[in-house]
Amino acid sequence: MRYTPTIGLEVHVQLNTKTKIFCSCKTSFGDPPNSNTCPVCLGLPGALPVLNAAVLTRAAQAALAIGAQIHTVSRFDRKNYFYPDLPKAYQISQFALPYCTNGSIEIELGEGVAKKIGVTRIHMEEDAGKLMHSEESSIQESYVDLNRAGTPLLEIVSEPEIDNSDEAVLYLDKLKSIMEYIEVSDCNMEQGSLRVDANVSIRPENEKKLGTRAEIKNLNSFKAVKAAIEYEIERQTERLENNEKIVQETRLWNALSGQTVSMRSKEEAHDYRYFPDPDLVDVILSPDKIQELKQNMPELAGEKKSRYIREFQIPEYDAGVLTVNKKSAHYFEAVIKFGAPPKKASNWIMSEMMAITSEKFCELGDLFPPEYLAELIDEIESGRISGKIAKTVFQDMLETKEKPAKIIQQKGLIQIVDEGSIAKLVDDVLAENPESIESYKQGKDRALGFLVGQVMAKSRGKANPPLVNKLLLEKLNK
Amino acid sequence: MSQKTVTRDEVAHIAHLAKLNIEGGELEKLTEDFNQILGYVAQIASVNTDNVQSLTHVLDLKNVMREDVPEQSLNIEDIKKMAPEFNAGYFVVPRIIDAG
Repeated sequence: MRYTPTIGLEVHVQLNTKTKIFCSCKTSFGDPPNSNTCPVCLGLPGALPVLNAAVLTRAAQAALAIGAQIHTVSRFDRKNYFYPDLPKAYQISQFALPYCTNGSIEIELGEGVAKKIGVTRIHMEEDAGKLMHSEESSIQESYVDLNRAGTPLLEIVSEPEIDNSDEAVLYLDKLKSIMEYIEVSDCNMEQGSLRVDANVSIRPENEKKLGTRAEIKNLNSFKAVKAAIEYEIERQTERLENNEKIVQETRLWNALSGQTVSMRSKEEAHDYRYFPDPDLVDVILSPDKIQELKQNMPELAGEKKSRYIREFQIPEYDAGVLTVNKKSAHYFEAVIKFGAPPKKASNWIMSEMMAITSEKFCELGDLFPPEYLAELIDEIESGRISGKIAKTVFQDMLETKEKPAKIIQQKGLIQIVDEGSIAKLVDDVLAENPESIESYKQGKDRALGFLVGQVMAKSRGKANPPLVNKLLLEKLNK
Repeated sequence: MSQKTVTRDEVAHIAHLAKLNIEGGELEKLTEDFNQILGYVAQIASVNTDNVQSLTHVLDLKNVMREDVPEQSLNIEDIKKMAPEFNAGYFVVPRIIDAG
């Protein structure tokens, strides 16, 4: 039998505020353990949480960026459970009245086909602390660091509308790009500022009702998300084929074995006994405030893309590539500001620079500053160097981090545009290659290309190619 | 309005969630107490609230917030004093078994 998978993703995004969601402790990563804690985030008796206004603004921006509705009334609830990383024995979250609902994220399936994945809700909550266990299983202790406890999180829950692992990754890529664009989160999976849980179920092809789902945790990269979903679909298919039931449970992805494993300790049905947190008051937003937030939204990738096509007259493809990442878009705009023609700038960035940045996992700005690229393009445009020489200058710029003008001058790479000097080179080449002249006269165009190449080589790439062409033709056709 | 009562099993479940160990005999007594408390609180249901708007909070306050400005956290030595067990900057708890 054929089965249809259904996938829903729960994404936790750490907001990049300076302080925690309910207290004024810093949210910085990598500080000494427990150094950023206070009575509120340690859960000491009598301490009262107070909402960080910046969390509300960032959450609203995230919601607006995915077209979600911001609710005028929202509330914080207590989610009750015992775990050592949760000092209060409850997590402050949102349950009945989430901040935002009903958004969507559009993914490109290729060949111009797009698909909208619904976002059920976005709510604000506090992160838990971090637990550390010794590798040595004989050590009967675990260690708790509460620096992360109280870091603001957005939980972004998708509708179960994702059909396969590829769509899941596209959804996550897009979500990450949007969050980075509006600068509400660093979205760094290694540092845990973006975390993903996947709900996976399958059902017989003709069945409408969704199958029993497994919730998969411990997904540390988008690659893990993809692999875990694929494994889980296979596992569930096998079970159904063998007439076995699927159990609703939490499963942990093990990247080493490439399998998901049942998390028995949490098999017991969750009973979080949510109730409104009496320590916090309701968040009421006026329509005016929501309007104001809308007006202050940063330009999103899609808007930027349209603007590039309109303002810079570059192809849609270029505009798309340049705007995927906000930093690349900034770089491109800076190059133009320094006077480079937009299409030339986009060609260099897309064909030369992005190959390097994607290989080295770095940003365009790490290679050299935007004004250097603008200068390099100007050297070509003004005819001082040829396009071919420009590639060598580019390589030098990567290595030496020097300005193009300096490299060109030091290496004597300025293009030869003096007809007399080039004519001399042409004469030499013709004298050395009588058989090529013969071939040319017999109508073999390839011979011309060869001769041009010879002249260029003699000039060490510095001769102006159109001039070489012109002079060669003049002499050959005499 | 008929009053809701809790069963022995529900009380056992709640005790389990609260990580309380209850001896066999105690459960009967606790269930009885539980229901008495519920009965007492149930009086509130007799108030007619037809024309009263529902409240989201008993305090007449909304939007209590603070600016995103860091303040001094606690001193690690003071935290250490509060912890039953503390080592190398960490709170020490019984080993949490990894399900992985």
